[in-house]
Amino acid sequence: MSDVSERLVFVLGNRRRDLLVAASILAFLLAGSFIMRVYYRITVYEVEVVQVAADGSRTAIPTPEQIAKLRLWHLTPPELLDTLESQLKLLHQDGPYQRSISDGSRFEWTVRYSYNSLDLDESRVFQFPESRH
Amino acid sequence: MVGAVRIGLALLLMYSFSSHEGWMLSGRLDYPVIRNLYEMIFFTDAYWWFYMGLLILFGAGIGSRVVGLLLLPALAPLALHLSAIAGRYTMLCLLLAFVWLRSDSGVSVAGLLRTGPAPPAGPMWPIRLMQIQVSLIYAVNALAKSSPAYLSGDVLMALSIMLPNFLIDASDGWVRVWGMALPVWLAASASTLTEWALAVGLWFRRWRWAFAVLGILFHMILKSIVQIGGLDHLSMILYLLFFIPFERGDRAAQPKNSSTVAAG
Repeated sequence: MSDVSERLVFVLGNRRRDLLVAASILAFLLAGSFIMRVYYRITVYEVEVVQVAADGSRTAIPTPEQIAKLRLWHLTPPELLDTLESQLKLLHQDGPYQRSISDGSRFEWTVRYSYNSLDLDESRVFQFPESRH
Repeated sequence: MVGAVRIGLALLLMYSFSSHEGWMLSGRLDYPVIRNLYEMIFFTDAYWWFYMGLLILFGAGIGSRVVGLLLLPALAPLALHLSAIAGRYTMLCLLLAFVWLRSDSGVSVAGLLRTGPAPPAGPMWPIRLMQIQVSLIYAVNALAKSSPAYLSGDVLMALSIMLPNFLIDASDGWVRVWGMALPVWLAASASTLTEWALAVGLWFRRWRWAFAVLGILFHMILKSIVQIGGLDHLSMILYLLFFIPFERGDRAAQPKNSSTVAAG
């Protein structure tokens, strides 16, 4: 076999190396194939927030844009709650929410959700300063 | 044909990775140090110009093999976009397979400057990997949708109500598209069956054209139901992979039973 035909037929110089690379890529494709799934499930959710003042009075406030614009429907409920929790923590690190907490308020974020249905029959409450129930 | 796939892939990569608006990490990866890394490096204008420049070189067929291998680690961090990971991951996998073909295959700058006949683009296996990737896209989605919740239409109904990029409202149990009104369970089942068919059918030479037409029709109907950016166009471009001519290894200089991708 001439060198020229080897360059034409094999990418890496010989069959063994080509097979190794091809098999590695194939294994990678198969292992990661689950990532390519789209629009096959949905977690329907809504987020409401209540500010509880130091004297115990409760006021419902509008869900901030930063949370309302999140598109987390494609996550499973545990993933959704994890991601929401990290976004809420970011929100409470500074700005108006942090200032209100300094004044003795706390914020209760109620996430109502359901998996593959519109029932919204499950819920989780996040509280800042943090305590979860 | 190989050149057309390369150019199409470059354009779709540019479209998909052109913006990081709304970019978000999974909650499990969302730490300040990672966020800072993205702000300092991956979201800068310099980085954007860097990988866009690489994509232009790749599309033009200038050192596209080396450039393609550079693009993979360059774009990988940007693929971790929670809302866009499926499309971006798919494209990077296709790039991973494509880079093993000759840089000057098909329509390319080097090809335009070439004086002699075009050599074959390379062995078959990179194209086979991309074909397998196309089949995998349909197969994993068909498998995921072969669930009672999806086939009953419940998921499709909820998607149509909740997602702003859905162009229909199936809350009354009907999907109305192209002048037809279908029960939502029938629309869901039909789309799942079509994806199963496309996962398998493109491998049959005799029926390839028919399944390609089915696939194009399927994606055109999908565009009336949901906007999914470049994924529709990507899928249709990738059908070309199943029509690339192969040269069997019957030339005297080639080993037996080898096959190469024809030039062009």
